[in-house]
Amino acid sequence: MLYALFLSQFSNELSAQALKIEGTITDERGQPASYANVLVIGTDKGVTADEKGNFLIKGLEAGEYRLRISRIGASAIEERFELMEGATPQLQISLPNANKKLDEVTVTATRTPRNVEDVPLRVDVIQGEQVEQMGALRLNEVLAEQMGLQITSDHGTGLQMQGLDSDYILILIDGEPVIGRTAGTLDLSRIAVDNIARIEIIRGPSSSLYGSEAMAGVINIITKEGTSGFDASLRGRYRSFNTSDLSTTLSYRNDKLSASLFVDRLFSGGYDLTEESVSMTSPPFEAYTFNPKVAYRFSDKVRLSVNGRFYTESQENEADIILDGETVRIDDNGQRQDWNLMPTLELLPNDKHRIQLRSYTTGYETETALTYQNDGALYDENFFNQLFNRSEVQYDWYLNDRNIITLGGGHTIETVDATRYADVNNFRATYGFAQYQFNPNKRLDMVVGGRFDTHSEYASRFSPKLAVGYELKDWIKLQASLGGGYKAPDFRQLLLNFTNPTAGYAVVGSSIAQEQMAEFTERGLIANVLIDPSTIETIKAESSIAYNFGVELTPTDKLTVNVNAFRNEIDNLINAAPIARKTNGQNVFSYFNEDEVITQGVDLQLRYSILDNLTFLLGYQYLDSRNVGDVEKIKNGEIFRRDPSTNRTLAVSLSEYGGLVNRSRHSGNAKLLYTNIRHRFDVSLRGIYRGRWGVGDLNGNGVVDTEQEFAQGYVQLNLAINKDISDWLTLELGANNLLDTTNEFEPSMPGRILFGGLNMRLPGRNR
Amino acid sequence: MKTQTNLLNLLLVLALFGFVSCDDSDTTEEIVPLVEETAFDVPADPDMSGGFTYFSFENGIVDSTQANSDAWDLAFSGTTILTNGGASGPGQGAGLVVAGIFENVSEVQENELKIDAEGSPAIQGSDSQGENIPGWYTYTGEAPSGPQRAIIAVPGRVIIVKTAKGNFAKMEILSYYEGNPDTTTDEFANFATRPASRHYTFRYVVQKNGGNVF
Repeated sequence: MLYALFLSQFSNELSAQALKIEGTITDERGQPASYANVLVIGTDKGVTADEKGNFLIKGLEAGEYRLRISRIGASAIEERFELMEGATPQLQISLPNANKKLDEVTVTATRTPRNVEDVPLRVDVIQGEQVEQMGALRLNEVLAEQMGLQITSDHGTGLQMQGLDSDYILILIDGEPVIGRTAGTLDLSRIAVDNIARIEIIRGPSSSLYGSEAMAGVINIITKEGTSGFDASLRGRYRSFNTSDLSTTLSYRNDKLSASLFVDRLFSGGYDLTEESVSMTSPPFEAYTFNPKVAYRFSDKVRLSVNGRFYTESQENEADIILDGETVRIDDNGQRQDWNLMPTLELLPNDKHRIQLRSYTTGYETETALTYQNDGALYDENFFNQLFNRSEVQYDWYLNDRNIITLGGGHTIETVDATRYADVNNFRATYGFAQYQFNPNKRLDMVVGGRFDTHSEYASRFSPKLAVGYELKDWIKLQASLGGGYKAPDFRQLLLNFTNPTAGYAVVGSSIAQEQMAEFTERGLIANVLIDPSTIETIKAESSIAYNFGVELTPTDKLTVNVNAFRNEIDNLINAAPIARKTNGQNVFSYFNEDEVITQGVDLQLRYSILDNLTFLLGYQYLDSRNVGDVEKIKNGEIFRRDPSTNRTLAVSLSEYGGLVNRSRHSGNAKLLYTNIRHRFDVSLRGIYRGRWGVGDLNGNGVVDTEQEFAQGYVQLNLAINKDISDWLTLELGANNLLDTTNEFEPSMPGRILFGGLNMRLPGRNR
Repeated sequence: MKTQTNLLNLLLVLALFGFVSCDDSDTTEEIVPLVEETAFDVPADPDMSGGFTYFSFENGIVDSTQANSDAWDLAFSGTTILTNGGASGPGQGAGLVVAGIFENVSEVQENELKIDAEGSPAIQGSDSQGENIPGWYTYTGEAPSGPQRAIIAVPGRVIIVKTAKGNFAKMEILSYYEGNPDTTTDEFANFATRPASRHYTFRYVVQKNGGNVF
């Protein structure tokens, strides 16, 4: 390889060196970018521009080249040009300011594409290149490294944002919701990341635009669009634990048509952290993702696009069960699929109006079969089928540069059929939303909006939103928002009909409680009724009011600091409570709107450009989470625990209260990103810290308060190196969890993972 | 913080003493120092034959031949605790489970105490959620974390007892298992190493002067 590099340089020296390139570099304001560095990528040719920003590079052959232009305080950019005999190109290059790089970022946090700087909401953007650089395979790996996002393990790999669980975070792919939750968790490991253009993280409730689940915030994944012409890429990676991933993207684009296909196969041998049990912590699995996209521009005014997704996964596990006092080994095999189809018709009658008609249909199916290993007979099987359709219209009216009105409405139909649910269930919902974005003056950005949802199973709901951004000085920006969020009762809370075969208790969803209690009573299973089922009110959606306040400081070109304070007040939290005592001494439970919780905190993000090609990032979140009722009881001296050495009762003090389970008071991350332009490689070293967190109540007082009830914090270190071997081939190497950290309460950390891979593109294409 | 709490406790105790002594000066009751005692491993029918162990705060375990007398104050069998009164015995016994800290329960409201009825003892076993009556234990059942199928004395529950002879006592049950074990350990969670159940350890204070203040 070295020989080849040498050879190419050598041949450059020798051949006809008549050709040259000239150019002028300016900064954002059009002033000369004095002494900027200019390098011809893939060669050793480079110069420093003069005081006036002019440069000249001689001794080049005919061909297509890329220039890399960098300057302290500015973002490095690449510029393509072609050299032909007899002509000297004159390039005019404008270098963006380093800290203004975000200026170019378009976000859809307000459901209209806008410059992130003009949106007075908390939006963090992770670009596709960053995802590629870190060598991530699945979405959870990407989000784990973001400030204030906590990966959790509960029936899948979930997420926590501002101290709120997976159930309260809406995950969108290209603006449409991903469905398929197990116990509230949407498994992030279902989402491959190789075809991601960017990820928008919107903190604070967005129910005013998206309705249910957008209570803590929204993660919007925007998939890649093909570049012009035909393009193809192939990426293969291998990791510890016999994990391999192979993905390819094919795309074509011309003036009218764009089409792309992304295919990914992930296989993992799984791992086991619990030696004593036969079942594996993470069983072996094989998953395929297909993501076709087609868009056609009929005219400047009409555009049709159809996106699709198909995901299928199968996994194999074993388990020991005890039957009549004997241990029997069973096979535990699972299958799951999700798919969606998303046609969108976009009408642009003129540059002031945009109408989108969307129809989104998606399905999620799981199937589990437990069979005896000795004779293959069936022990148990269960399934879960969910189907969701949404028809929606959205109208955007660009009154002028400063005023955008958005109106929309839609209808959803949702069907669920599952082993533990009574019958096939149909839900219907209708909603409408309105939003007004305006900038009364240059320094002020405002968004006002609201959404009204009606649903066939629970009470109607209005979610308002108000957000204001104000540029106090060129280097100080303030942001404040107030919003209402809500989360619909989930299927199990409405429909579950489950009697535990070994323990004998029963859980019934609130929609079927009355009917089911009548049946239990008829069968003589009820000893006494604690809550008359006819008095049970229609369950309400969990709702929140959230406040966010932030400051962004840019004291120098090299430093950006964001500090934000947040508070979520959630009411009507749904909890299970007994409604009757059965004759076997066990209870019948149903779901009620009971608790009130608060999550609040402060977070900090810092970005410092140490050198032109070396960046340091820091994130930290302080989180205080509490159940209002529990805190009240502690203040009144009504929550107790025993001193385990004497078993005497003590009153729990507020300073001992550990908040809601699974929340870390302190968490953060630090990143060091280095790019070497000359030798075409980059290195990223990222550290993740999670402070101690409560895992559950062991001493029976319903709160986390003693040391054994906490998991110890940990630090994880990830390293990735990418080296461009040639124009079309990149080698990647790295290690996740370099320090080999494990934690008995965090099953998603198997220990150190080494990885390596190759990323191939069509030659002559930009990365 | 710790010293502050201790100081506060001391002040409370002093205030309480002041209150008690004031009370004493008004009446002519004899001053009897309150002594906290602990009963260890009182068996409660460990062989599950259905019998009771009779216990007197003054004399400890008494023979079951005296069941029909006022020689005992409490009778234990499994999780059932009887007082010597009403349907359970010839004495003046009554009882109630209240929420609070043992040290802080300072006064008995006699009219709130309950008397044993047939099948419904004054001392409630597990919480009665419908009627909102606190009980002294919880059964962990198939708890997802912590020990399963264990009887755990609920922290912060104090049992007020009227003795057979009409004095007031307060008691806190510390354990239902032999040797008053730490119930948060793996040894306790494991059925093979869990100590035998049906053995009560409790601490108590009896006000022998007939008053209702501790």
